[in-house]
Amino acid sequence: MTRRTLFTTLLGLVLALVVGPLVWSLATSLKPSGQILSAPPALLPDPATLDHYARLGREGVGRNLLNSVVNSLATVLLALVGGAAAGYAMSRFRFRGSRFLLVFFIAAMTIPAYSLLLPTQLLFDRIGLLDSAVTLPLLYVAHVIPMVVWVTKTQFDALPIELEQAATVDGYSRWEAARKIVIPGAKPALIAAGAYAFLVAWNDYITAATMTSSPALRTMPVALTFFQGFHGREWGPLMAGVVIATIPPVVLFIVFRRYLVGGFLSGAIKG
Amino acid sequence: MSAVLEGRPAQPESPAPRRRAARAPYLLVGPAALLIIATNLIPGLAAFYTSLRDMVFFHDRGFVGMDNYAELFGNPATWKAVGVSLQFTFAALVLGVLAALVTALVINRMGGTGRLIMTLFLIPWAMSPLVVAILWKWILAPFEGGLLVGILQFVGLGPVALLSDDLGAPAALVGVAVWRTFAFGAILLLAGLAQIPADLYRAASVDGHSAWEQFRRITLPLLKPSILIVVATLTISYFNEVQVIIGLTEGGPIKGTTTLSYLLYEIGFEESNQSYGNAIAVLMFVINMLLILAYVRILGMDRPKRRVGAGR
Amino acid sequence: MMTVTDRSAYPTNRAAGIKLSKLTKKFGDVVAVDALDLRIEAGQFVTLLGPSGCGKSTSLHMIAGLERATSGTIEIGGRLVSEVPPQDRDIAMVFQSYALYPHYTVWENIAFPLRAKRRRTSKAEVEERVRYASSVLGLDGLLDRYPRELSGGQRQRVALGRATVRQPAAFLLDEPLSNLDVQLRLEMRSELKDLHERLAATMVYVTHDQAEAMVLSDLVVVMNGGVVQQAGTPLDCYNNPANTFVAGFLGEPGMNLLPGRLERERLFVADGVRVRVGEPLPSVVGRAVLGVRPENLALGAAGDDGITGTVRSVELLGSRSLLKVVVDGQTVTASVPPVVGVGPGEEVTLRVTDSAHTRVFDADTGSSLTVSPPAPLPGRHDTLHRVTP
Repeated sequence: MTRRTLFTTLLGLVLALVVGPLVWSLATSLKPSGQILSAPPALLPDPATLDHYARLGREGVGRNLLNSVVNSLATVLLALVGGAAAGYAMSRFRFRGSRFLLVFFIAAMTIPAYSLLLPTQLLFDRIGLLDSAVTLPLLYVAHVIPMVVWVTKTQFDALPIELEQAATVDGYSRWEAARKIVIPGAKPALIAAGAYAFLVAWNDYITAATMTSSPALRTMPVALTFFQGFHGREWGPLMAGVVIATIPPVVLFIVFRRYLVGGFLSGAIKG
Repeated sequence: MSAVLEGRPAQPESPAPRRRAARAPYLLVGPAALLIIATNLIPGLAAFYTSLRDMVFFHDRGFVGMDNYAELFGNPATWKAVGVSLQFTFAALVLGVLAALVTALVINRMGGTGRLIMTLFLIPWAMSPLVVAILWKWILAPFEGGLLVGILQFVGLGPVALLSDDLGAPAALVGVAVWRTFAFGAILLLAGLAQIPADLYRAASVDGHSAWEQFRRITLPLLKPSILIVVATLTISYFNEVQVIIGLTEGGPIKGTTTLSYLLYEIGFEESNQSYGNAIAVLMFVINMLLILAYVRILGMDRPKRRVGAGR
Repeated sequence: MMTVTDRSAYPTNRAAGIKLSKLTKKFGDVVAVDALDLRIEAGQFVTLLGPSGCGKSTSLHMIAGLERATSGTIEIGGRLVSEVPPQDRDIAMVFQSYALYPHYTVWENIAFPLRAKRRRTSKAEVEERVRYASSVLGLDGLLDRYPRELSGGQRQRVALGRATVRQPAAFLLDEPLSNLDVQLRLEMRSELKDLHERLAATMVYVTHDQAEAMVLSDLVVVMNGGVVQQAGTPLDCYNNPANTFVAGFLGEPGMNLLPGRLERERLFVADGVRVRVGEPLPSVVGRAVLGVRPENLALGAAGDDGITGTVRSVELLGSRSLLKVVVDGQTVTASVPPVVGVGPGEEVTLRVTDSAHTRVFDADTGSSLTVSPPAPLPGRHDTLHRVTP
């Protein structure tokens, strides 16, 4: 076997391992109930049905979806505003404590959120912030904002100072220049950071599962674990839930892939 | 607003009109900095404080000194979890980095199709870890209808209950963790490969080096910084993995997949034993800090200079 | 190419004078600009000329308000602007890197200064002015392009268009031609001159290229080490350098400077040097430095008064040859007709073609000792130019 065919075979195998499970979950979600546990497994649904999706709809998946959407969008918005402002200050001003702050942001960026979740739960319990509508957006913003600061700061650094100088000479105040020149110039970083913030918020399970408990606040991943219990392992609705929970982040990822990969390379977006 | 856009550190400034500009950076940095202090520094201190007390179900029963730590380090379950963490992290790391390296090397020769395939490979990374776990639980289901069972039957083997097997469960866990993250590593390595000048390979082949020698003498050494970054990032990621474990094995069978981070989940969140749980959290925090220190050093030393998404 | 007769877009000339008093900039302990005094009249083209690091760009940035002066004052049009931010100084600036906004089209880039909130220009006027500025600069077909789609020369024109779309009190240009290739640089140099003629605007121009300074300026300000060395017309600076720095910096190559002694009867002597210097000269006798430009030296006969030494090399430039002669360990350059007839190693004597062209400098301070009437100021703004450096 030549090296080339070896590589091609290897790649094909990996491709099957990656795509296979995705296709399998989609197929399962579209199979009629009777077909799901058939042996040997039917690879394709026959006939395809949306029953499982309808079932999830009746179980109130719409609410979970809405929660996930609201949490994620709020996270993106707040993290971008707060993070880009800080990134701009870190890039354009030298002030007392700025070097320390940068190290602080980098450290915070690297600490896995989960490792501080237990004390956070206790603190939030003490100040009455557990299980409220703002709990999750607040925590997600906190989780992603160091990354936003770093990514935008790096991008602002790469933006020539002359552009802002030219804008002020052209009659714009520093803040007008920031809005008209700096923000558009940082678009790639803002898109990367925003897309990543969305992914973090949308895909989180552990924070939502430990910091909220009301059914009204359940996000998609949390709801999935409940479907798992309620239906006594009915795989059809469960896979429908998997598909619903997967489509938004995957579409977002494919659309913004270029920007996200740029973020990977800055060291701010993690595995 | 009379802020001066200077390209170098501003001078110590005195006159009055400057004062507003001097306040601006603090106002801009303030919200982000305060939020991070509130969600990192304070919980970090709270974890340590709580670990010195006796607290269950949010009910504080007073100071107990190092009792929680004595119990933690005296408990064989802790050491078992540490062992499982090490095994899981190490196995996933080896497999993950290897898969990332092979993928990067193959894709690197492909051009446009390679980009498309990489996008497919990255889809698992964009998914929720818990959703990934549920998806794989269904694939590995040990009864009729499960995909693995179907495949095994197809090649003439009986069903295997992988997730309740002593060896199978950790192996499945490693497999799923790698499935989720290898493409992320591959992307970093691809960027590293792209930075190796093609002339080096031309020169090496003129000098009579075989493809394998070129890989050993050029690719590997020049890719080392990127590999180190992948290793560091994935180590931290695997060591703290909890959602996939919750979704796939719930720490079983017989604690065979109870890593330190899952132990924290079990004791801290499921049993709501805050004091003992926070002792685990402090232990994990210390280990994480050591890993992060190593990571930051690698970033500082070897990170190739590049700009984020420098389009245009 | 730039013959546009319609000047309606520029109804009035708003050019203003600029006055710098004791302008100083320190970066930590480093003094970048040291007590700069300069008066620029309305409509003048003034060049700040000097080697890199001489403080010329820092001075320009202080005039623009982009750098804060450590001390001293700046007046534009009689208004004290030292504490005024750049956006309120009523200036336009062309940057070395052009600083075109990458996410805006050419049209949007040129219109940018007019659309500032504080300028409140009507849509129709923006349209009209952008059209005028772009037609003057030959940018008509490019208005929808983005900066990245333009060549270097086109970008340069857009930067000029953005500056000239308004009528500011003054234009500040920071080495605007240095990123262009030689051909384009010469072309743009002439266009800049035309532009200044047409706009009759105050322009402050920073460059390290003395040819640009010579061609463009009404007034050249030669700077070194943060200090003004000389301010005068290009010709005056060239012919009557105020000190040895200006003498050596201006000219390609610069003036030959030879240390020696000034004897009675205007006779300058050193090892291998015996030159009668021109009048007028205060009656001094003692240590001095002789300055003579390469083009004022010619090959003489042995025994002539002049500079005697050994030929080191002959560099043929085409229309001229540079003859390098070593005299007492120092190299003297003569610019002579291309066919020289001597070669390396030969001993030659260079004679001064006209003693009126020799200059004498103080051996300690480097200041010029030669007294000569300042050359008349050229150009049509004659009466406006009274320079007090």
